[in-house]
Amino acid sequence: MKRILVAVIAYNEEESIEKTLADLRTNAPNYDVVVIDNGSSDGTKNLCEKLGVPVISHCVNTGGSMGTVMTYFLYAYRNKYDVLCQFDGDGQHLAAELEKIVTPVVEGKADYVIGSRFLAKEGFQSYFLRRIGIRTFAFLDSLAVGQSLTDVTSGFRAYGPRVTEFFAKNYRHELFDTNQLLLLAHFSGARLLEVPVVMKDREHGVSEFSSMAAVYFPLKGIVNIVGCILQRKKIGKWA
Amino acid sequence: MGIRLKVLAFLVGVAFLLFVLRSIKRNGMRPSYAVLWTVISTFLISVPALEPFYQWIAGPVLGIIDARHVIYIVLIGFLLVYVFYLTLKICQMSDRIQELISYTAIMETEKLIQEGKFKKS
Repeated sequence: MKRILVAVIAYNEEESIEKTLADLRTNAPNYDVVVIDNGSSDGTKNLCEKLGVPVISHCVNTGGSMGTVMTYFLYAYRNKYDVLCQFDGDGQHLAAELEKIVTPVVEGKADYVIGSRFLAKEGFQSYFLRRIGIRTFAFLDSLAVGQSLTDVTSGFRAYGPRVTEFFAKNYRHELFDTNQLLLLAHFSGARLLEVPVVMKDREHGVSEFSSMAAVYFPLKGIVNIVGCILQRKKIGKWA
Repeated sequence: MGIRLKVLAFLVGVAFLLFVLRSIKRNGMRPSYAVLWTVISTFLISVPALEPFYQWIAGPVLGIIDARHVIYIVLIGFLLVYVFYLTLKICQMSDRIQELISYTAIMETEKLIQEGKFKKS
């Protein structure tokens, strides 16, 4: 039987984490769950501990959600998981949808599966400005990987053991954004796949995408895409 | 180049060099960083003595009319190179800090799992 880890990423999600973990307990009971707390200043860590859920807590905040990525790759690699899933702690992702992203990895059809909210066009479709950004990056990333992708910034992802090992061994530092993650995985030889999923809007807390970030993230994203394309030969050798 | 500018460059260069040497002596500055500051201090100290050479660099070689501008260009150039170097260093430090934070957090949780505080599944 495959060992599957769901890494719930959280930063100040005191109000929603309990509901998220209850959803996982009910709808994904066979998966191991670990919360990656990115230095929350509220009671997120204590709440998880009270609920008996393993929580890996950064002593300080290491930036946005990408600050937790390296930690869950390392943890999954050290504990030899076959499938690793990223799951948001803010209640946007549904545990009942996990199987959709896990199955292609378990069946060996893909190494990097993205849950896309734009394929079935059901549920929360994100905000207008953010959608424009996502579409732009989807276009650029699709060009770079030669495969049509729609929701490249989706945080609802599943990785196979090769991808986990690749990142745990070669990227023991900050990963900048989901474009970089996707392209690095692709250039390392991972097979990408998008599957339709349904998402909700966050119920509590604040998104990492502030108004300042609306200017900064697109610029950073483009630099990351160019950077990954420039590094692609080197990346292939590491894999 | 006026005598006042030469004296000023020399004095600033000596002061910088003394400050760098004192920082190295007190282990306040690593040699790799000190090299960059030593180079710029030496350049400033050398201005009065090597003025003809800098004037030659300024005029026939770089086409700069006023030799004093060579000092400004070298100083600004040095600062740009140094800021770039520091940016690379900050990136390296930031990567190492991220790695340490992740490892520390994982170790702590794995210890708690071993102690039976959390169920692994």
